[in-house]
Amino acid sequence: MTSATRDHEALSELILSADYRGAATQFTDMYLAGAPAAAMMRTTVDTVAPHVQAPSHLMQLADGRIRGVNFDHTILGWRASMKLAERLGEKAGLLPLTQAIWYVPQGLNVWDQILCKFPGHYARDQEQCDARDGVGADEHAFDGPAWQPVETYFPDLEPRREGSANAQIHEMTDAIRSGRREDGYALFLGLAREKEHREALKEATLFAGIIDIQDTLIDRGAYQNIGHKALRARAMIELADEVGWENGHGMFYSVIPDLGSAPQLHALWQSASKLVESQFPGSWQTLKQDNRDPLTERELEETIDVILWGEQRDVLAHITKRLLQGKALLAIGDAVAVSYSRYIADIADHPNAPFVPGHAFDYCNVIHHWIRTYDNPHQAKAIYLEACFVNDVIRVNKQFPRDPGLGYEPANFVDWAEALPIRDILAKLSDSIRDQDGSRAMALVDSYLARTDERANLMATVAFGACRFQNDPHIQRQAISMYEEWEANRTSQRDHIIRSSAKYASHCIKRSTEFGGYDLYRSKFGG
Amino acid sequence: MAKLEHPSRLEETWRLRNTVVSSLEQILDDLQRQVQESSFQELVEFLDGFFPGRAPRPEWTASLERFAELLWAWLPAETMAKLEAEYAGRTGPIWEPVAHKFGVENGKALAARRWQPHDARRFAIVLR
Repeated sequence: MTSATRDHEALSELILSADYRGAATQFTDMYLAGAPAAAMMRTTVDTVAPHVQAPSHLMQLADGRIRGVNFDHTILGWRASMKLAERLGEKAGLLPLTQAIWYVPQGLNVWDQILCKFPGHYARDQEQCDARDGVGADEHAFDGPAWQPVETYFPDLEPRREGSANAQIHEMTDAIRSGRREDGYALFLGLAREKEHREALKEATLFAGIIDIQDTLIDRGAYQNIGHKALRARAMIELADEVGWENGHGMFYSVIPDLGSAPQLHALWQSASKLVESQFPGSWQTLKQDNRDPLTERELEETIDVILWGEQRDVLAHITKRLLQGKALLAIGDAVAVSYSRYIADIADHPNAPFVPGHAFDYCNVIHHWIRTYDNPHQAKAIYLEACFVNDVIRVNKQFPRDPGLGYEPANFVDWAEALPIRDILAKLSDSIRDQDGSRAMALVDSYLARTDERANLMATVAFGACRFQNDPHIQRQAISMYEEWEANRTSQRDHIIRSSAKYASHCIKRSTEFGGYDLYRSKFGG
Repeated sequence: MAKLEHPSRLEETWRLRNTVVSSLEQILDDLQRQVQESSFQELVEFLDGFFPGRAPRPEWTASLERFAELLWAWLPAETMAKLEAEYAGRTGPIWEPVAHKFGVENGKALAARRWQPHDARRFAIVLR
């Protein structure tokens, strides 16, 4: 056995024992010794793949109620961090990678964490298992390490190959949609080996994830997935691309079985389908090619107004109107992304408010990537899905009364920010994100945006500042969505995307405000 | 049948605006009277109807913000203090922001922002 092999095995053992500090230290030491990040990422994904499957994302409690079960986020952390690392550069890029490995051992077997049977951040922080009677092994049991082997709820399967590739893709997506998890997974594996069908398989996998989205979160409790199936599908594809699909089994095993898990939510997809097919008989399949017009400034404002202030039926009708006007799918999608951004930057003020909407923004990002990268006759329908999702999360937040006691007042710091020399703004912004001082952060961002056209350093400051925070891969995920959407957005209002990301980084509630991962990064890499 | 002649769009819309102003002012006058004539218990029952599970949709819940602004203009300080105490005494995270709305700090902040031109019949009101 080589030294490198022993290192990778040690990394796996530390992960499976839920020793996140040990695993992160092992990872950073291996990196410093020359191990490629992608190879270590592959080791971690291969290690956790059997242990990130939930039997369902609905759990029936002893009294008959049903609660939701969180989705695996380990793969989201890797995809976002690998992409952020490319953007942030050699040294700063090691911070998101450190956060990804810091998270992985805390994100195993979410089902058992919720039942207080296995350690991790859900058990420790969300479920407060240490405070429950009769479940803690000792005072810090749910911080790890594990006291028992991690469970496997979905055994691995052999690939299955039958008929034409098109027929198999059709059967695979049907199996996923109808919850036949084993069939969907085996059929995926059968095609994943065939390079000539790979692009079609990627596109179909994204499609299967995207169309599974709740119609509303209002009073629905556990019956939602807030876009995780789509986000995880994209993560799988891009990580498999990173290591080569012949090495991608861990990614497939992590993601594909879960695409078919309960709850399956296709009501909104059906609504969008009925609308599009009735309004564009015989031509809905080519809307992406036929509709090429941008939105005028006035139309952009109208679309934003409907998404911010309308109800779902208004949004559905408005999207149909825009499609009938010949507006390009991505022009409407850009308006949806700006709508989300203006809501977060200028309307949402409670720290809880951006948390779920951030998922909707990432979901928009996956849809836009799907439309930019692939062709599928159903893509016009996805614009309805993302617009409704963003509108819905805004409406959900209206159910929570605004708290005037928060003290979130960027206007109070406008003069302070304006008085700073521009060369000091980004350092102050970094401090404000670290201190979770959203008022100062937003005053600084607005001052910077007004004084200069420079954006790359601004986005890097927001992204790096966000990456200081641990135990939530959505933080990294949100940062990479900012980059991708800002770069692709063709509206005059794309800077709101940076503003909303700065607000998310500086003001949104965090799963942890401790800096263990960041401290490790600094100690190992001197950041 | 003779066709009606349209005034200019601008004139037509301004006419509509003035018509709505009259209606809206009547509604606000009536709302003010009802608020001031309500018992404390009636006010609390009405306020409780803003919350999820009782409100018909999220927009109704969000309109609590606007109703609280009106209460600060129409009710005496002691009633506002009683409302603050009522919601501060409830358990559950949803009630704390409600209590803060009726706290004296928020009242001062709203009063400082209230805008009424000298020739206006009433102070400016945000609709939603």
